[in-house]
Amino acid sequence: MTDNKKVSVLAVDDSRTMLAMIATQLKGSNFEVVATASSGPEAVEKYKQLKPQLVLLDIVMPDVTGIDTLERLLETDTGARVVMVSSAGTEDTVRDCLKKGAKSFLQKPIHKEGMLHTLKNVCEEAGVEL
Amino acid sequence: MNIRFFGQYLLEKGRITSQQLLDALEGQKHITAPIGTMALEQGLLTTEQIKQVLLHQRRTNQRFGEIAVALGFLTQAQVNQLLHAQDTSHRVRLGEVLLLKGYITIETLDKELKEYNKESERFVSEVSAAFSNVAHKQIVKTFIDLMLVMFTRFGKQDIIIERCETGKENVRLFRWIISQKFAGQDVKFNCLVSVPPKLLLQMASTMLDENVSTADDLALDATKEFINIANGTACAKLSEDGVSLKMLPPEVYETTTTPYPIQANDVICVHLASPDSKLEVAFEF
Repeated sequence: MTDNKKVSVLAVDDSRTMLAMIATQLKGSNFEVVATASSGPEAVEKYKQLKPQLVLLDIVMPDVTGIDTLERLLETDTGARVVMVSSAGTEDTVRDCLKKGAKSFLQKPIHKEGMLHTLKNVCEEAGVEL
Repeated sequence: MNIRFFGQYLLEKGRITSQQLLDALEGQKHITAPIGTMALEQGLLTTEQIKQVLLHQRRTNQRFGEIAVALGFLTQAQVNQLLHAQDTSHRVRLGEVLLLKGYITIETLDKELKEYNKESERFVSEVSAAFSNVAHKQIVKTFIDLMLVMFTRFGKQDIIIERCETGKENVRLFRWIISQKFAGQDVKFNCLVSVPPKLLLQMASTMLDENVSTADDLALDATKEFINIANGTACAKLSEDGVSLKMLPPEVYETTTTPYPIQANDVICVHLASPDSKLEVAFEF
């Protein structure tokens, strides 16, 4: 697979550390972080500009939470494929995210294998070619 | 480290789909737990024994518990305990719902539960002993437990509990404080983690996977994320026991420039130590 066929990912987290970790863990895979955002509004802006195939979206962020951002993204594009990311993977939170239209959920600390597995499943279910 | 609630664990392993997880989470509200799967989860019965009991049940139409006792798989006391748990528990273990809905086989459930429980092993004896008389014991214990897991397994730091006290005057404040707010239905609190510079740099180095020697913005960001992950995992774990907490992003304070005011009167502080450093975790309720 050539680089230009990689699945494009927008990574959203208020922690620079997490953004760097995600980009590092996706290196050499079929997925590529094409943009990052450190807040919900910035994520929506970048999504509109770049239309990435997947969004990795942190939940616990200042001001606008990831769950609110999920709703904004789905208002922008009902087909947005959003995978929520949080350290607080409580049953209520996971249920809430999936009900609101997130495609899946990843709990921090993110394990490379678990993340690739999850992203691959989301792509397969959505018919995105890998 | 892999401490997730069981459904999340199965999702990330690809054993179930997110739709099946959602369906099962919703289904928990309406389904009563069969005592067979409860017994399996508690390690009281094997899958083979359950199959035998079910086979008898089909022939005799007797109750599951009665047959299990007659076959010598369970004592009457164990059956009574399971029935009591069935009556009093409002929540059904996710695995049982997945099984009832046919999303997972009993063999897979058994195998995954064993692996999950192994990965979720905690420092139960040490942590329980320290907090036997503490208010909000479940929250304090779980947060400390997961903090130890984070430091030990992820940060490769050997951390021990020195002692636990109450009262804001007993909180040891080191140079750096990472504070995070939590709120649940009946409880609201701050969890603060106070560390000396050396430990802060060690936490940042762990997160960034490089040797960090200065407490710059990136190091502070990494340290906040370290604590955020430990605390968030504690919330996830508590949610399995029916305690639902919302959390805000952590904030960092440098006590040499910004004094940290402890305002709450109900404070529980836990003195921790690594081989070459001290640290403090305090809960302001």
